Amino acid sequence: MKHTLAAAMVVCAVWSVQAGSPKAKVGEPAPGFSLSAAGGKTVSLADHKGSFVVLEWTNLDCPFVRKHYGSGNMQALQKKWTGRKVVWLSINSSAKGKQGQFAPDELEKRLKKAKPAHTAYLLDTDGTVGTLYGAKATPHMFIIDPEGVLIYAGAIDDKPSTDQADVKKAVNYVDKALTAAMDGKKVDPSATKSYGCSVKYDRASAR
Amino acid sequence: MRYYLGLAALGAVLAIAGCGEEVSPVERTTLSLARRGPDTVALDVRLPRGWHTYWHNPGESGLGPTLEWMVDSGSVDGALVLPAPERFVEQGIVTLGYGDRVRFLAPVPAAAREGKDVVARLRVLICREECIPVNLVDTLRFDDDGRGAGDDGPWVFPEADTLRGRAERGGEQIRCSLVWPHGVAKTGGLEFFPVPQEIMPSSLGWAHDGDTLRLQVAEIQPGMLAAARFSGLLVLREPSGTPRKAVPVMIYIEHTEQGGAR
Repeated sequence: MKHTLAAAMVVCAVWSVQAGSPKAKVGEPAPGFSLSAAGGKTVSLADHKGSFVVLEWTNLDCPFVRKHYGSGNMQALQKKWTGRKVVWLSINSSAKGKQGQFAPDELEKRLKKAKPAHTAYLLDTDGTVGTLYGAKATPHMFIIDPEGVLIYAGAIDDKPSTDQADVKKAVNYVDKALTAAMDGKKVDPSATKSYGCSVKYDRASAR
Repeated sequence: MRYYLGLAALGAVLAIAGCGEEVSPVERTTLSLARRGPDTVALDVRLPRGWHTYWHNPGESGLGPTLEWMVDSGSVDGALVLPAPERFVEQGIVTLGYGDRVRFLAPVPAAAREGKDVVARLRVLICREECIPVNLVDTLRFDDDGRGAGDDGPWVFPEADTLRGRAERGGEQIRCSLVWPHGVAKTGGLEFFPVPQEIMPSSLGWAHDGDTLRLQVAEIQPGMLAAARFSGLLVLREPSGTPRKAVPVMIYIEHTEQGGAR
């Protein structure tokens, strides 16, 4: 018995994980940032105080992202909410040489093909903003209210798959959160587990 | 002249051997099915070097496997039993899964018991620098009754997923619990050996309550995602107390303040 116990103890371990130690927390002020957009313009979060802001971590080569762009789901969501004065910032934190990071002319082609309806596509090649927000996956969604408070962080919907057919069956958390927040209601859920490809950070910028 | 002839010959040999022809990681990911006893099918998955696939709870990114059996009426979802996963950390992102090779288990589908060959479709996501969804297909032959199977792997139930876990929020604590599979507990005895003190000595508490082991993780902040991985060894005993089998297990439970346990 004692031998069995001793042997068993060798393989045992328990750990607890919180989603990294990002500075962005639901219910608290969203961290500020400035990033270069595709095309060269600089976009700051502070410029959009007074508006709802959606941050969408993206990687156009990730099969989970392709599910939402290939089905037209992401573009429809962007179109719906930017039409209601929501600022939608797609952010790419893929490091140089990693999947999803493109040269400017290639990026232009890819965006032309994807036909997004976002406000801007931002380049976070060194991963600073991704790390600040604790972005883990693509897509990973964040919503900031007009007061600058983070009111939602997590998945785009409740169907973690790469299958486009699942989009119609899914509960879209971003749509649900924006609808509730604009009606002055509590966002529920305000935090979910994101799903998708890992964000392709540069090794040096990883937390 | 001899130098150029040599180069030409080398080129011809390489062309014949197919060197330089890249085989995609999808093609290098394979599935092989075999009966393991009367009730169990082993699904052996081999992955290209450096690639990995995921446990049903993949962690911070990725996607767990799904199984479908193709039958006359269409397809039916198949249950999968997954072994305890490895922990991968890439650029600070923690995932749980398998590299190189893994054996999943599934109950033999009804059609195979009725004397039919049954096709399995296993969907996995494989990742390295990029992620690729892969559909793996193989046929379970009805005449494979498993008698020829050697004892070449941990294929006897229970496996990790026969343990059930739950997480509930209570005030500033998350209460996680593990529940023993009843059938196993009644075979003579079941013990579980966690060593939580190694990781979070101040915020973990354990208590046994019948078939349930309870864990409390304190000081959960609003909006925090919390997870607990339980690893240990289940020891099954004969009624006489003699150890019969030791099974390594792991269960991963996570909780979000609003989203509840998954």
